[in-house]
Amino acid sequence: MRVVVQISVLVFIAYSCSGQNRKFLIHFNNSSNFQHEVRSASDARLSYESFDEEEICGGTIDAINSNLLRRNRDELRQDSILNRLCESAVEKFSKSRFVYRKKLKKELASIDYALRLSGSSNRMLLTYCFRVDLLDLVPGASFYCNKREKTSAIHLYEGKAPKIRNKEHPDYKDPVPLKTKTVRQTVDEIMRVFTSKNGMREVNSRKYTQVGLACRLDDRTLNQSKRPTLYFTIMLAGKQMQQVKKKDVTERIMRYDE
Amino acid sequence: MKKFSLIISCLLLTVSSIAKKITNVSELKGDFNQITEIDFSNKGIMDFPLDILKCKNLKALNLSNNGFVKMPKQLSKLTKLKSLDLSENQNMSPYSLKMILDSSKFQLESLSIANCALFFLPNSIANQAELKDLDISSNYIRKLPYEMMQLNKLERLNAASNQLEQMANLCSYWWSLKEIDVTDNAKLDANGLMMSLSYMDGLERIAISNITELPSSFKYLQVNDLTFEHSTIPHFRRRDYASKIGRLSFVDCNFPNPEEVVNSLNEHVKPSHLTFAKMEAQQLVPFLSVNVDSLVIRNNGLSAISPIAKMSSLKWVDARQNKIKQSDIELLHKTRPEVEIMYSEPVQKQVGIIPPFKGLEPKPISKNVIAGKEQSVKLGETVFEIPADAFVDANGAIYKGAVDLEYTEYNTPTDIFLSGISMTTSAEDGEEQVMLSSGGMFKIEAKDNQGNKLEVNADSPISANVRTQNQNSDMRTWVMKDDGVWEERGMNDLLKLFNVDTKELDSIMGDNLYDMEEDGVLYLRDRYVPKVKKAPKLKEFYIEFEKLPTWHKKKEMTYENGLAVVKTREHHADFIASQKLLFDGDSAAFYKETLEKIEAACKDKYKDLRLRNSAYYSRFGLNLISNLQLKPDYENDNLDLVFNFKDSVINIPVIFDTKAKSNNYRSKELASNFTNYQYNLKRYVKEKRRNKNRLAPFIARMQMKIAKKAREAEKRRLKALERQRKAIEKGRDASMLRVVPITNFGLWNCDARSRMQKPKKLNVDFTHADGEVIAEEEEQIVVIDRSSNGVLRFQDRARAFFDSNSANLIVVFFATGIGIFQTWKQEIKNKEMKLHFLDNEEVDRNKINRYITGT
Repeated sequence: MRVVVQISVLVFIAYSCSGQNRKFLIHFNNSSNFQHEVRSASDARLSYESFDEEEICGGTIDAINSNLLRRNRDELRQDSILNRLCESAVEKFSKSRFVYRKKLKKELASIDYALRLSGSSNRMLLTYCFRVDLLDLVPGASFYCNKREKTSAIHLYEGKAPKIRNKEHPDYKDPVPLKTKTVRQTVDEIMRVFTSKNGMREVNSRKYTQVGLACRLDDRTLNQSKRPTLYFTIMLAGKQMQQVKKKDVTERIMRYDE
Repeated sequence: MKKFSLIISCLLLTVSSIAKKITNVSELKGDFNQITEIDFSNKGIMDFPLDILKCKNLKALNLSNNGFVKMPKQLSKLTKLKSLDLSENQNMSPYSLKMILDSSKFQLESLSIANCALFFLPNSIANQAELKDLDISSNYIRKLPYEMMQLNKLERLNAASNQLEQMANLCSYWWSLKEIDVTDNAKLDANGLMMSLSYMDGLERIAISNITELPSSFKYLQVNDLTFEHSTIPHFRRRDYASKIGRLSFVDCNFPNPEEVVNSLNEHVKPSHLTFAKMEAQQLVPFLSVNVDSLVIRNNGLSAISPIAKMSSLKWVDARQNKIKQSDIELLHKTRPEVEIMYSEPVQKQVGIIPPFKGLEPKPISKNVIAGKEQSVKLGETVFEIPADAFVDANGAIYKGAVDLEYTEYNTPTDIFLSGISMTTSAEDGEEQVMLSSGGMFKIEAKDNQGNKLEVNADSPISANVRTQNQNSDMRTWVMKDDGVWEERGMNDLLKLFNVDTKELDSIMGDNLYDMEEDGVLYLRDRYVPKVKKAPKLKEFYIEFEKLPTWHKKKEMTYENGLAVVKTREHHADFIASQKLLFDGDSAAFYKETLEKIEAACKDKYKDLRLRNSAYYSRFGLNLISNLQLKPDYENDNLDLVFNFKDSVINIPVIFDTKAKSNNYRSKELASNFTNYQYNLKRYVKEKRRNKNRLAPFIARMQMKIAKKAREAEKRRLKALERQRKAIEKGRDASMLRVVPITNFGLWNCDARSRMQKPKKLNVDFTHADGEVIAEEEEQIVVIDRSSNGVLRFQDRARAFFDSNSANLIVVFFATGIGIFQTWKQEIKNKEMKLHFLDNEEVDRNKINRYITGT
């Protein structure tokens, strides 16, 4: 009996893993090409109701390219296929893929396969999936969620949850509402995480010429006593043949021979 | 002053840049830079006119139907030449043509070398990258040079009546091809060619013969007009969603399974126009169930037509040139009144001479001769050979004295139209009226001193050598009787002065020259067999090559029985065979299947070549795979594995199977592997060069032998041509003549009965150029057929027809003037024909001529 249960559990895990893989490919197959509008990040606060993913992605590309320009390097070009891949990854990958690098490695094969299916001409691919904290509060500081209070748009307040909630009570203290980060702060946070994962070193290595990215708000962290987070995927692509000499030596030799 | 000088300089520039067309050798003088077009066809030219080389702005050169042997090499320096017509020059040296094409500085768009008795095509024809029209019909060409695969812009190819064997491989490179005619090539691999054509886009017309089985890929064929000649068609398989074939023609075809073909035609092909010719009535019976709009069953020897009443969707039938009874046609009319049947030529009977415009008829030429001696007299473009006692008076007595000859010629469509001579006669069997297509017409009369008419002595007729442009050898001689009806007087001899007896042609040596050099050296190579292996990931596979060694001696080169045997070590191929290549592209299943088929084919062919008790394979026998190469494909970011399998080139996207786990190391490994490959390729090239140097004296000796043979052959050929040229009388100014024996004076004609290929009814409204309908009733409609040199007259538009396959000028006569329509330039839209209107006073000969010639 025990063996049967173990086998069934293993089968279920295998099925669920392959299902996730399939969902990603189906989503990628159904998606259409798109490009982000590149613009500099503004100081406006993020809001759940009108969350603008486009602005964050455009701001990130602007930040990366301005970094490259400072070093007199060529700018990265947006690739619509990579954008589609990132979009599918953000939509269909589970949370663990954004948290653990080891888990993400399992998906790299399917990303490679999807890239080849799409007929992309850049076969060298580098993928980063990570989460970004959106709460404008020092990490580790305490906060609580109160949906009855209307002073905070995200229902989060600083400190520990008060025991006295009666406003007429002499010991009552007004709750300090918390805010989300601005777009600029978010982009800075993305760049910080990206750099910490050696992303900028790869960008500066001149091996990659194309970039694609996508982000999604994590629904499960909203309106709860959790820090609101953002799923973010960025992919870099370049030519695997870049080190093979550009001159078509084969042709030249054969022509000379004739 | 400045303005004035500017205007004058502009005027001078425009005057100097006027384009000029020349049609006579004597006109070749003056400012050569003005000449842009030269037409010296059928001029009897025996020595190439060197002044042509001075025309630096020449764009079109027509030297067809002449007798020159050599062309100067400098012809290749006419940089602006776009169109070159050298057809019907059987004396032309193929080496001369080769020399010009080898050193050409022009980029031709149109080249015609039809009927030039060529046995080979120069390889350098491939340098003409802009070539769109190529006519190589009626030659003796066995194979086309493989370099012709570079002719990407080729649109129309006429390779009919040759001895071609294989051209399927070449065809697949001509991406712009629209029309191809390869009929009458008995040895051609027509099935293979059809397979290549099936995968091409943009084809409009295919004419092919000797098909024995349609390939399976025929279902993909996209074409609008398809003609099969002398073929066996067992099936006609098409896809459900295959494109329609608009016009389908079967000429002398055999159908083993007609029901299958009919089903396919109804379900998939759905042609709107179906043609059967030269077939038996019984073969056509199964096709009665085909759904088709238009049916052409000309020239099938049919005696009944009523069974076609079964064909429900039929609207139009062309059943001319059959032996169908009138009662049968009436029966069909009763059962299917809506079907339009054409059972006889749509021509109205004409008699006599009725000039359409008084005063515009061609004017006669007069010449005085003294009768009583043999003499040759040239009048216009005709040379009369007059015997001593050629003339008799009214009493029948032989006349000797001064004779006044009056001669008028009607060679062009303009002359025939303005003369008003009727150009119809009855068919060979029956009362059906047909058009006469003229190859030369003239009127000759003779008078004595007093103005009395003379006649020809029947015992010693005058011989007339008429210059003609028409090559039809079935033309007959006609004379117009007093009642205005043409009377047939037997055949006339078509004299092609420069036609060469093919037995005397040694040009075939040209083909042998290439073969001899290749046959003298035997290059040995190891054989390679591809293998497909499964890769860990889905749909991916590895490609490996197994080497089958052939050479086990240390020496790289030996001589055996006058044959040089050279071992070519293909180091780069060895390197590829040592690597594991991973397929890297789309359509993995297709490539896998192809490679497996190649592997199976190689194993099947090579299994008998293995030496007994040895790991080596025989040096002799076929090598299916050659030229194994790897090429970097930067665009797709991978490598291309390229090799030749038989005649076809296989190209597969691959990548080296690397062990590296990170992107960075994989890229480095790829680069190092490819560097190794290139190093091996260099080694191969070095070795090849070394072998070439060693072989050089051997090949030089062989080339000397070949050159000696070629020189002897060319000498023999030139001697034969010289004999022929000496036999030709000097002073001839035409290459093609018709010899007409004249037994009485009057109107003589060299004509053939001709029929409309694609008759079209002229039941339309006539409008002015601005679209306003002409209310006036037409008095007469004249159709001038420019292509076949004939003129037809119709009394009203309801019964008027014209041949939409040829170029016609339609002239509509009204009381106030005439309306002109050019079918090769204008189109009939919404049943309206826009006419260029000329008042009666405006009509003159030059205007009519300009409309007919289209200048």
